[in-house]
Amino acid sequence: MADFHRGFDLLECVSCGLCLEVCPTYDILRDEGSGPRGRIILMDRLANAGNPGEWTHHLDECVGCLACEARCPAGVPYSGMLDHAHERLRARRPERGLAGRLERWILDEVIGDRHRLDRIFRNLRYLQRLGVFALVKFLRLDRLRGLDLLRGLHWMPHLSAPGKAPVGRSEAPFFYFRGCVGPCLFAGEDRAARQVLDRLGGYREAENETCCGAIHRHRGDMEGSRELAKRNIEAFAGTENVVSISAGCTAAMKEYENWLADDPEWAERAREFSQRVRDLSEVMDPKILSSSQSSDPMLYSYEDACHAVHAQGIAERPRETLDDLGTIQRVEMPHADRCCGAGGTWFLDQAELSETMIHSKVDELVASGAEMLVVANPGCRMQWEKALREAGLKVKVAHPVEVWADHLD
Amino acid sequence: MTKRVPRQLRDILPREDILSSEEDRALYEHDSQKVHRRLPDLVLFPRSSKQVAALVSLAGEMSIPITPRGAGTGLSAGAVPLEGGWLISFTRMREVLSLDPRERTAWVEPGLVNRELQELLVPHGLCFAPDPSSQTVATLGGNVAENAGGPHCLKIGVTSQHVFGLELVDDRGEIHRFGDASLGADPLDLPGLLTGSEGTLAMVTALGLRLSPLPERVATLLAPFDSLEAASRAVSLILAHGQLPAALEMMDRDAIRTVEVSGERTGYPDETEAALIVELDGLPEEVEEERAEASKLLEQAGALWVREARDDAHRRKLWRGRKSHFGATGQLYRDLLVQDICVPVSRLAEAVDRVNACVRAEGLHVSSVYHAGDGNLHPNIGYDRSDPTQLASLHRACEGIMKIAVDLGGTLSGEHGIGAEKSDYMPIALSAADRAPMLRIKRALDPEGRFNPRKIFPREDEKAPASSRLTVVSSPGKSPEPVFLRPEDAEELAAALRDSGSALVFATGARVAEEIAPLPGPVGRMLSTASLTGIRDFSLADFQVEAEAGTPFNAVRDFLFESGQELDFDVPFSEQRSLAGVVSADEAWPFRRLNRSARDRLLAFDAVMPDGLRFRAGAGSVKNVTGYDLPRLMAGSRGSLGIFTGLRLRTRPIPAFRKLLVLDYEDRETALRAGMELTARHDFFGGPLLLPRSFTLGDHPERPRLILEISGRENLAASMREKILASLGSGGLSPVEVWEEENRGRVYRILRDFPKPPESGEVRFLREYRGSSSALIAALSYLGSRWILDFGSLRLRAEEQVVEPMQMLGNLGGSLLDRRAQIVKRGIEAPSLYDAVPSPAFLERVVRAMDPSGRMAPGRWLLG
Repeated sequence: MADFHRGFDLLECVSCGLCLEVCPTYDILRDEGSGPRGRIILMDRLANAGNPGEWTHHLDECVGCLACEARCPAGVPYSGMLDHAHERLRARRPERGLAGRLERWILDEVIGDRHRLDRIFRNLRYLQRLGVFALVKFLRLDRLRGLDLLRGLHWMPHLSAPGKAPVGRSEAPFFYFRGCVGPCLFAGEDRAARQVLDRLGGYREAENETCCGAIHRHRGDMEGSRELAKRNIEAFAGTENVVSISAGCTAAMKEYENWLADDPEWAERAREFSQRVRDLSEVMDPKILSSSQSSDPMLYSYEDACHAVHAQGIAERPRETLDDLGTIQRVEMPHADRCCGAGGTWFLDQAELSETMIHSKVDELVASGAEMLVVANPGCRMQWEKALREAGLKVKVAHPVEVWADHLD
Repeated sequence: MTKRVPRQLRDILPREDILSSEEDRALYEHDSQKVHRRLPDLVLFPRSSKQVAALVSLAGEMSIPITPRGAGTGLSAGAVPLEGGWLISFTRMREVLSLDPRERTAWVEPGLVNRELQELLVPHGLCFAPDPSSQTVATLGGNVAENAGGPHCLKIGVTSQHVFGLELVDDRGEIHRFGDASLGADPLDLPGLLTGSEGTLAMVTALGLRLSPLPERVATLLAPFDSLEAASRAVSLILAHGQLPAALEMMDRDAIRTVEVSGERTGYPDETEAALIVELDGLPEEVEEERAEASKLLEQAGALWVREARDDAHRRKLWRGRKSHFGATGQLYRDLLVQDICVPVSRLAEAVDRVNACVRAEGLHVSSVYHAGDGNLHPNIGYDRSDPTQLASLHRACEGIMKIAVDLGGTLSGEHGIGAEKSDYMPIALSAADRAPMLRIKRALDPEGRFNPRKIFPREDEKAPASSRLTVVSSPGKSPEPVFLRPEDAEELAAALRDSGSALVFATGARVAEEIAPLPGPVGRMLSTASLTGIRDFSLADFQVEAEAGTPFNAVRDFLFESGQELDFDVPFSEQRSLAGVVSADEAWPFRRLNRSARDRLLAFDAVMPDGLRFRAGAGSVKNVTGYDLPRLMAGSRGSLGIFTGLRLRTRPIPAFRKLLVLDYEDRETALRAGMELTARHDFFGGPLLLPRSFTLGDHPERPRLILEISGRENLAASMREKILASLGSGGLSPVEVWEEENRGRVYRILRDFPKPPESGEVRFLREYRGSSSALIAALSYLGSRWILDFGSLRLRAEEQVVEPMQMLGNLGGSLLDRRAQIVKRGIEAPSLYDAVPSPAFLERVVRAMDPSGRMAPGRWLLG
């Protein structure tokens, strides 16, 4: 029989269109450019045509949820193709103006430096407490030209101080990959992760941990992402599993072996590293949790973070560990694995699409009757919390690790 | 290059619903077929029928061709704008206009995705039967355009059996709506003609769909074989045994492996030459029995093992793998073309062999999936688009496959359509004469050829004469005295038609002149097919019989009885009726089963057109989208479009038992509500009929009663009866007495003696009255005791002197039919979508396409 070639080849797509079922932007806009099948053709043109014309907006509209890649029966490597497309687009479209320079500065100087990040967030916390953000929103300064980055404040959760948690050890079965912005935004998640890991036998931290590089990659900065990957591989040298609670980070780090596959010096190390990366739910041992059958369990719904379910196939296990607790009962949303419209920083660029996406998700949540929403990614959590806040809904949002931490035996 | 958008177009559509940049247009260059490509000039996204109508009108003024498109998952390049122009994407026109779970009908816009409708229906315990593999993304409009099938159309029929109505925009930009929510479709099946017409006749803007109850029990068996031949044999064995599974699918070695190495990991047996998926559904007891039987037959045919899907999740996984096959084949080939031919199922093994040999002889690789129970083959052929020699090989292989299909008595397409891909192969299956009626319909409805140009018809037809020229030999109105002719054969019949000049012609079957009284209007010539008799062909393995048109219906029945077969639309009082007579009236009375009528069973026919042209339509395969569905159009046309000379019909094994179940009630209202309840929830029985008390039957003639016909496997009678009573009991509608009428003849005689049209009138009704059932009861009481309410086909028959209450009933949501079976009045209180506005203008154009001078079956339709 013919060879089953699984190379990096755009021609693998036979245009069967099955991806359109799961694409959140096609679901809304219903034209080819808003779905993976059309975008693949555009990416093909971008890669091969001399003058690509006005190619950009359909590719920018892709949230990168990877549902299509998971659905594709031919295994077309959509995410890899999209990253490369973004690289090409970026080359043709340098950052402009204040916002562009700010973005560059954040990506280059801030995100990868956790000490600087911590300092910045400490200041943000003070500003939030002083009511500065509320004032900005009240005065609608975010609507001013050039200041649109301030719109991000609408998503800003209540920032809390890190608080006390078990500390890392020098000898432990796990490396803890803390991540960059996540623990600053949701200190409680970080604390809970440390508690759970401690009970699982303890964790180590890597002094030189840096950003996983996912954001750089999605913005087309391939070189930047590879640099960060190398720094992390060095920082986490050892044999222990590298565990994180951020689906976006683990998905990216599991891809390091592909990012660096063409680099003879790093390919093998990257492969070895990627093999060690785990989402916390993958190493979670239910034995450390106490379960008790409640007669009136709280109803919860589980939202699959795209980078957990589509990129890593993580869906059943976290649900099972939560169901086994006995104090909460799961009610599924019909499209729990459909993107909420956060997509890293995508929600800022594509505000209208993002709104539409989260609104239909909120409707499904309300219909489910859940009192708590569990989601394992900081970006998704911000998107949900903002939407629920604006809709005046009193549904609690939590990371599964926080629920586990509440049920430690 | 960005195309200029005409200003008038901007008045019709907002900016966001017009795509003009090259970037966007490039994405609409092809559908899932990919061989045929062409950039549209503009891509337009209408959101309403009015916008579509305005677009069609404007396109007409500007002489721009328009091509409709759904989700672009078609496999015959049907949605490629071969002459550029406007591509009308219906994906943003996707409202559910109405959904009535009790009536089991829905009106939806064409852009709604098949899966989206299914998701809405599940909570109501319903589904839309057609399930093409692309159903997760394909639009219902696309399903209708191609008359889609899918694995599950084996038992329950392809799309055309599930479309009762359509709204469309004709070439002049006028909106028409037709079709009747009651089970009897309009006498002339316009939805049937449009379904499968691939967007070449009109732009369809709303679909009236018939919904089916979800089966109570489903069992899915998976069985591997060590050869395709053994698997094909198993298919024949199961069907020959009389089983009609819900689905009967076959995959070859490479197809299985393709799915297994894809992300699907379905769990198919990986290292075998072939696998079958057999899905059985129905009542629990029925499924139990059939499962045991099917397992045995599979093993007997050489299955390596037989396993059953553990649960619904497992079953879904098996089907998801199967339905992902086309996409998964992307791993295998650089470029991919899926063929789609359909052959009589007895020739399946032979077809498989010959098709594979044919493709391999061209040096190309092939792996196949099969809707085996339907005899529908899908060879997936790998090729490299950039290699001209491979393209030439591909073309030769496809042509070879078409010849094999026709050679084996099958046809060019079972469910993907002809589109651009196969138009030039059409002459392989259909001669110029066979294509002529299709071409006449096309030219009549789209004289300028602006709807989806260059599809279906081969290039040579573009130059074919526009329409038949009638040579008038005798002067009109010359012969007031009818001339009765009884031609000896088809050629003589054709000659008689040619010779009758402009005389009005009335076709009759077995009856002789004296029996046809009163004559239905002024008639010049009466042509009887009574001399055309005899069985032409019978294939037990394929469940098909072909006979001369004038063969007495009872003779066909007796002939089939010898082999344990029957025609499963019910025509019990058929003395003196010919086969063609029954089919051209589209009979299904009194116990219409599973919504089936003669129309659903006509596979092929020979006929003579009004100008004497002889042609044949249809094929020996059970699925057929090779050109327009003339069998559906002709069945029920009552001699108005042409005269049958031979018919090929699908047969079924005679069931082990067939009984009439009689439910006695104290009062009409409870009986009426019981009838509504039963038909809303089930369709495994025939009927029921509601008879008022005057009919003498049983021990208590004073009672109104429901009569149902149940039939099926040996041991099923008791559980069917239980199921019926349980449904009624839960609604507080239990009968006072239930008994079985052993002597069916007695009931048939009563029904036969009831005045038939034209002596009686007929009202079509909806199961659920928008008013209260007591209003219906009040109206019924005006009718006295001479009426029969038939829930099987949703018709009320009553003697004609009671016109007024009949009109009252019409107002309650039905439509009133006159003696010509023509709808004369539609219910005014019914929501307009339920009962479509009659469109005599469109009907007239279809009739005139076949009969330009309007001389056939005079007075049959209310035209103009």
